[in-house]
Amino acid sequence: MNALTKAKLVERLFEQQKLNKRVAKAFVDYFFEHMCSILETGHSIKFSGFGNFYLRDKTERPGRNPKTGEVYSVASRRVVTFRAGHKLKVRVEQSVSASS
Amino acid sequence: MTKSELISKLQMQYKRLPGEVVEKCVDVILEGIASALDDHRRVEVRGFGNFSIREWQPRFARNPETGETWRTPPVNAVYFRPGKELKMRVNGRGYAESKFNNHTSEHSDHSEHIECREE
Repeated sequence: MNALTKAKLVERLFEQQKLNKRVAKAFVDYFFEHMCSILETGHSIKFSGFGNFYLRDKTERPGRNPKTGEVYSVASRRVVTFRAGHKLKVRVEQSVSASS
Repeated sequence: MTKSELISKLQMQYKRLPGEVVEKCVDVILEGIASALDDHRRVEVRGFGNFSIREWQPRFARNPETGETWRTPPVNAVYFRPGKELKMRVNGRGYAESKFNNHTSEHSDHSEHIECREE
């Protein structure tokens, strides 16, 4: 099955909200850009019923190049994690039992 | 930041659409993602990240107390993999040339940020 892309989200806005396609595209771009910039400023995002995006600070740790065996250190960094909300979890879970 | 906070911020900054339309559009996007995952389709948003479903096969597990063996049910979990741009931006690096740069004012101190990280 093919993936849902921004272009298809634009299509949905066009169909469901009767938005002009150019405006819909600009909005979808703006929405994801906005989420990036919120996460960038160090805030998590919570969508009730959908899920939460959290930031996690990872400490520096020793790593190894699996090819050469060389030891180096993995720098401390910040990563984004997503945890699905209860409603989405249940929905996805049920989609499994329906298909199997 | 909650959904309603995000929506009100969008409404303030995005004047091309009336406020109530912005709210509905956010719902359409989130519902679009959720329903695609429901159909086990991947969601790909360049720059932000991808959502996909991870299917865990049933496996045999053992109750450590009674020693009883049983089969776990198959599990489907939503998995989000951040995109390259998002990964770099949360680390204060490589703020990519974005069409909407002028809307955000908090991004001026990146060079300092990189310096303290690399020490």
